[in-house]
Amino acid sequence: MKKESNKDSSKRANLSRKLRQIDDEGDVYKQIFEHSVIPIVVHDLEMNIIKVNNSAVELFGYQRTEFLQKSIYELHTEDGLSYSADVLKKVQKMNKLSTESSFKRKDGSVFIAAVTPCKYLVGDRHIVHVYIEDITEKRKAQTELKELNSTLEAQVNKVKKQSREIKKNNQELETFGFVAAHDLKAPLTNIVALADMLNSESFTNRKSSEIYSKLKGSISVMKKTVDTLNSVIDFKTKLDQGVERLEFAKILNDVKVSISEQLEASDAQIKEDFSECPEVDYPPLHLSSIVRNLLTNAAMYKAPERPLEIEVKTTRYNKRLCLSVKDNGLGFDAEKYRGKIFGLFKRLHPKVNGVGAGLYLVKSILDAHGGKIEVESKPNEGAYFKVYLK
Amino acid sequence: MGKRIKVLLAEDDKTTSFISKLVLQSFGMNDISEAFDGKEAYDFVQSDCPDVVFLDINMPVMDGWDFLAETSAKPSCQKMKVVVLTSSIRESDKKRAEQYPFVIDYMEKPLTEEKLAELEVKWSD
Repeated sequence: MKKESNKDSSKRANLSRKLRQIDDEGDVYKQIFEHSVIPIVVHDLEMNIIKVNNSAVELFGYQRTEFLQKSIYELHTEDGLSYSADVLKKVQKMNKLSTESSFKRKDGSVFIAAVTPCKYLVGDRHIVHVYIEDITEKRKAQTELKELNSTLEAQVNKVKKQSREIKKNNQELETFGFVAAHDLKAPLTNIVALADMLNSESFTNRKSSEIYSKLKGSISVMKKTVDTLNSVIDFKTKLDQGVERLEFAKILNDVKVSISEQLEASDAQIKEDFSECPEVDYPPLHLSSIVRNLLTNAAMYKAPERPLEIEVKTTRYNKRLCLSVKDNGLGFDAEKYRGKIFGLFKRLHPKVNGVGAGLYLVKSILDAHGGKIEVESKPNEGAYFKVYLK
Repeated sequence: MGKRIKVLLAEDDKTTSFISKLVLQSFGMNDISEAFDGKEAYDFVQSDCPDVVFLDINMPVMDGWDFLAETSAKPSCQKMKVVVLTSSIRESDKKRAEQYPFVIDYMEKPLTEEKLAELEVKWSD
């Protein structure tokens, strides 16, 4: 027997180490296969199951020995069968693909799984190993989310539809109001004219004369209301006016002249400060109307026991131009009446002789130009209106 | 505008026409005829041309504008004067009416004694 050389001995040690290594690695792969959290089923091209891992046993509920007597077809539901055949065809053409199919457990319960088969050659035999990941919960959550989304979408559509209907109803109501106000004008003009032709002396007895005087009072109130409505309508149809560069001082002065009687009657002292923003680009009629209505409002709601003081000022807040009108008049509870004071025919002081259209008009103008109006006020402490022109 | 002038009221609303008639009568004008639509007014002026027509614009059959267009070309209506009496004053309508030389005034309804007095001054000018 030939004595083994040192070289040979080292070669064999190497080989043995390599073999051990291969064995170790084989064991590692086996462990990975067995303990993978993803269920794995290995089958041949006839679809006969030849190996399964622990997770697959756990997932399907079959014993290993039971598995080895089954074909992969038997794990599918009826629906999944044709799918599986289809998958097989595809997997024969390529090595990997990922798809979804339904399976049934030993106890008959069904689940949906993401299936990733992989085909390869072992010796001369083709085998396929398949990752079968239960995605039932994931799918359920997705379906629920989808249902939730469609419910939400249906609700959004319902709200949108309601909002369209409300808008349409509002437009119809507005049109109705416009038509009513317009159509009332002609007969009312006649009533006023006829009543003016009569006088209390036309009546022989006191009772008729008194009735006539009440009738005239009612006609006068009605005329004022209809005239106001018609002027609002007129104004609303003229909301798209051209813009011009305007000086606040000049606009204020023109307005003061146009309502001088009313300002004198309320003994108003007006202070102005337009130093921060002397000019603005705005439709002239609209700016005049805003200023006139705010001043008229201040004059109308003057506190009887003190002279009226009004401060008109312009300031710039960020990029917005603010025109403010502050008075020391009757004031009101702004917290309580915030939503009410800008409505048509809304008056907070019944004894004051207004119709309640001024602030409504101001708000209509501002709405048309993307502006807004804010108010701070307390009873008997005056009112402070801030108008953001745009 | 004397008391003997011949007036035509072209107005479809009978109450409005009645009011105008009362005002005219209070000024002593009694030769007043009424037409309740534009066509009736047009037919009237063909046969018996009045001195002045108080004309409403919105009337059935033939409106005030058509009446103005049709009668302005008639030689028989050359001496006739027209006062437009309308329910709402519009600047554009006023300009349109004033294009006709025989339109001497454009006023808002109703006709009142004050308006008629002013019209008399204008007429005499």
